[in-house]
Amino acid sequence: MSTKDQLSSLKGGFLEQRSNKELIEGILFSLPYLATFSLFLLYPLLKGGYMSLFEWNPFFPSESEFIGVQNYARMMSDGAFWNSLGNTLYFVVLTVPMIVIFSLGLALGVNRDIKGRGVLRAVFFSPYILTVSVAALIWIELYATGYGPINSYLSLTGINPPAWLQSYTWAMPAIAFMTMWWISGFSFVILLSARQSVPEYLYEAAKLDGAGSWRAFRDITLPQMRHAIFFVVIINLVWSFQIFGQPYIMTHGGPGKETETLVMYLYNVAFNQRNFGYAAALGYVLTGILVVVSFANYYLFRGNNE
Amino acid sequence: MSEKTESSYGVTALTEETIRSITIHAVMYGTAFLFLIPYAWMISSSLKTSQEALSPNPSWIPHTITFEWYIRLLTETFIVQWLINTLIIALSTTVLVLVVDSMIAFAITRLDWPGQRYILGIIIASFMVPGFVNIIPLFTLISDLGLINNYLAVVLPFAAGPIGVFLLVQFFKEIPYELQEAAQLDGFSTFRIYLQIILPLSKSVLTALGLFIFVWSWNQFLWPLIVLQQEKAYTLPIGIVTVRNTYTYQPALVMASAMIASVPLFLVFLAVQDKLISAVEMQGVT
Amino acid sequence: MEISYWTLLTGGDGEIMVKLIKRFNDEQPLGDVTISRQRVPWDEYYNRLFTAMTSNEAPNLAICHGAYLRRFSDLVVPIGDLMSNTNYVKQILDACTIDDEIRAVPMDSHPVGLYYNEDILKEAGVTNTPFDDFSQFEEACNKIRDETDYTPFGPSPNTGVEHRQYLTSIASLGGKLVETGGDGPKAVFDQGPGLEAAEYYASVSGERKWDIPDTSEDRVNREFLAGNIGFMVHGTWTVNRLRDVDFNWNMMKPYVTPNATQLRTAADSHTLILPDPKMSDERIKTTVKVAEWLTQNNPEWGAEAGHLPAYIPTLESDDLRNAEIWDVTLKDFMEMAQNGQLAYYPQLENFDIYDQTNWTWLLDAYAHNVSPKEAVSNGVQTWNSNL
Repeated sequence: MSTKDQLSSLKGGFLEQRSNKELIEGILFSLPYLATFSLFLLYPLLKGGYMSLFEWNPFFPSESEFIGVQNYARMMSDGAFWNSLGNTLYFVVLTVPMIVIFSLGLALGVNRDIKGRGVLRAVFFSPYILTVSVAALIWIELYATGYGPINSYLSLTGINPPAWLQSYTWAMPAIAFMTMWWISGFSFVILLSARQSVPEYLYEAAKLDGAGSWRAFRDITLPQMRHAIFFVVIINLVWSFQIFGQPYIMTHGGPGKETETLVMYLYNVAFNQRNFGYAAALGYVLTGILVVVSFANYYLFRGNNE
Repeated sequence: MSEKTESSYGVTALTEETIRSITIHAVMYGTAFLFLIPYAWMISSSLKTSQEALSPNPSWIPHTITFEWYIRLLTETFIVQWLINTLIIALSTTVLVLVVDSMIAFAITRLDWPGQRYILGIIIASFMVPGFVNIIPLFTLISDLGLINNYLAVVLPFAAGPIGVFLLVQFFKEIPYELQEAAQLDGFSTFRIYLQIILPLSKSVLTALGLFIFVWSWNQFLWPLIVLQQEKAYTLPIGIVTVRNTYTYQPALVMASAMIASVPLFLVFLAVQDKLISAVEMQGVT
Repeated sequence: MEISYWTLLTGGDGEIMVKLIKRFNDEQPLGDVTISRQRVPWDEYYNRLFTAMTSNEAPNLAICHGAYLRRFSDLVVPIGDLMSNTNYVKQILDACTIDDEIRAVPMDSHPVGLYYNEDILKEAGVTNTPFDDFSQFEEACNKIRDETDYTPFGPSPNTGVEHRQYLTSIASLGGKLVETGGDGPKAVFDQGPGLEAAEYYASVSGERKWDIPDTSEDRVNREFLAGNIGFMVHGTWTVNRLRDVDFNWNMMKPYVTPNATQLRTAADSHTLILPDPKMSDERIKTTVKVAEWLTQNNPEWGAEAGHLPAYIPTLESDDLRNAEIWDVTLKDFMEMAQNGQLAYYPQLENFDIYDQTNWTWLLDAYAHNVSPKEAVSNGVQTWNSNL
């Protein structure tokens, strides 16, 4: 039964004036949130669109010059924009599959008859409650050349380790790896809870049919967990696209501009190059990309599973 | 003959099961061990002398334990002020979100008025709006309002997020309508129904949401970085990054600052681990 | 009245600035006027100053590098008429004058020099210090490389190499970073001296084997302080970091560029600006007086922070000549200044010249990620798209 049906059956033959009273109360109860929401979310969203059509003057906004879609056109030939888009996609490709598969593995492992399940769950989840600065600062030290433990131990084995965060090849993977440690816990908890709500009798039935564990995984676990997996993929996609803190703190976008991501570029355009209009246009385009990717992913999953 | 095959088959199955179990234990505990290494490094480095922290031979237990860095942080930087700022911002965001979000969720699920579906639709659609798209116009708005360096510059935009409304709407929907009806017959006002029936019944979801918002706002980085410009106004996540820039090459001090920034949250985590985890689970289910 | 004041100074000179302000607040030379200092981290300083200015949160007074004055010149209060005294080194005062108006009070000049670990040089058998050309420096580095286990030359303490060393070399070769023509400034370092300087620094971490191609932050600083590096090129303020080291050190003029046609050293100035045009006239007047006090009554800015004061009476004072640091560093810096050997950074309107992202190409050359030729051409491309 829908909310609507329940409400109308509840109200039965109440008078029209009741409805008016509920309208007023409804508005009063909604007002505080709607005011915040409109002022600090909707209004900026619209104003951003407006600003993106201007050569915005941050000091004297009224002197801003209307330039139509030039800010959008500029992106086409802006090498730094394409570079940051490429870097962001690379980061997404590195992290999303890795985090999803890794946290699925952890969830399935912890779901088994394992001693100390509560402790394991707490350990795997814990990095997620750290702020990005703490996570980044710790890993700067772990990756450090000269005294960092990772390189010290690698040198012992005779490998000549790279300067992780200064290397063209390794800087982004190093950030991706640190990110996996940092945020996998969120996906892990969701996948674990989804796995635990798969009814056991399905597995017992499959066992009676002689299905091995691989088939049980493929035919029961995956389909039963698909909503949770879908959610985890989407949320990681959205997060990865918005990566800012890790490269901002760990590499400043270097070496070269290898780890300058979209949001970092937007930040630099706004507060370093002082081009608010272009930055607002960038924000809009990034949102567009994000929406398209989310929907594409949605249809992809639909197609596979239903 | 057949009996023997039977039993040897049983033995094999048992050992296979055991080996499997041992392997899984080893893999899971091995991974857990690796997960803890960064913490161990943070804790041990924060207690090392400058020289030992920079030594090319890593040590996990400092030869000489020193609290020098903690003392320097507490006396030479604004870290205590940052802790207070972060606490105030996280707490007021949490309270504000719980109050305004539960009110509108109540209006959407428990009252019948035209337009509520569209409003919910718009709020849910705003999930699609990533935070960064708004930073430029929001920055100009906050600065026009004269709120730069003010707690409100962080709290208000955080409170505009849709997640709380979404979760509470899901939960409030499931509360039986008979309760509300009975209360109405007893002459309860709408406000009393909200305050004395719906809210107490939603304690678990409110706690979970509150914890999640608390941790989330404690950890925010990009937005506070933009609107909190005075050293005294920083939050911990911003402050400790500037500490690293100020004290060049003192990894021990940086790790001590990371400790100070994370220990309060770890304490919260240890105290209410299950509730926090259920807050995350809730987001996956809905 | 409380004057809000932003600084970006860290470490050595930052401490001296704190002392200077404390002295001001204790003595209260302008009556009931105090300074409230706020330190903003280097990395974010100019971004923050900009956002503060757009949101009416700008401080009354702020430090600004000479190289950044043109970037803020439209928005700061012109103060020429309010200054009681303009007895500052002409070259620095000229840099503070933009569009015929004095827009900043000069505080100092801070060129770079060649710092060295005397113990390492001794061990390598180098005794002919100070050098007066590149070949002596080259010979010393080779000796350290061949005779000892130490690293001969880490050009910059921060990231292996950076703008200070590069500008020093490009100017020593007679070149420029940016050419200002009819259609605005253009980066020109992708050929001639610019390319030559990049090739040279790539060779320092390459075939010369004077350093390793590692551009980690602070590596050279850490190793130099630990006594493992022979030479390093850095600014006047480095003396403060070297106070507590347990080896003997010294400084000389930076003859670090092969084929140099002249001696040049990269220099910039700290200046004081009034970034809030909405201040009342009375506040503006008081703030200018504060700025004058800070730049004129600051013997410690030279004697302890190691900078060359911009105020001529302080620069020529006996106090400075008698300071311990005079013979170690300031004398050389002073000589270079008097001989016109300071190479100042170009003042660019639309360019954040110290921002690391504008120099990553140089690190690429040093780390041998790309060839020097490719690096300078990447660099010029980045610069010109922003200029």
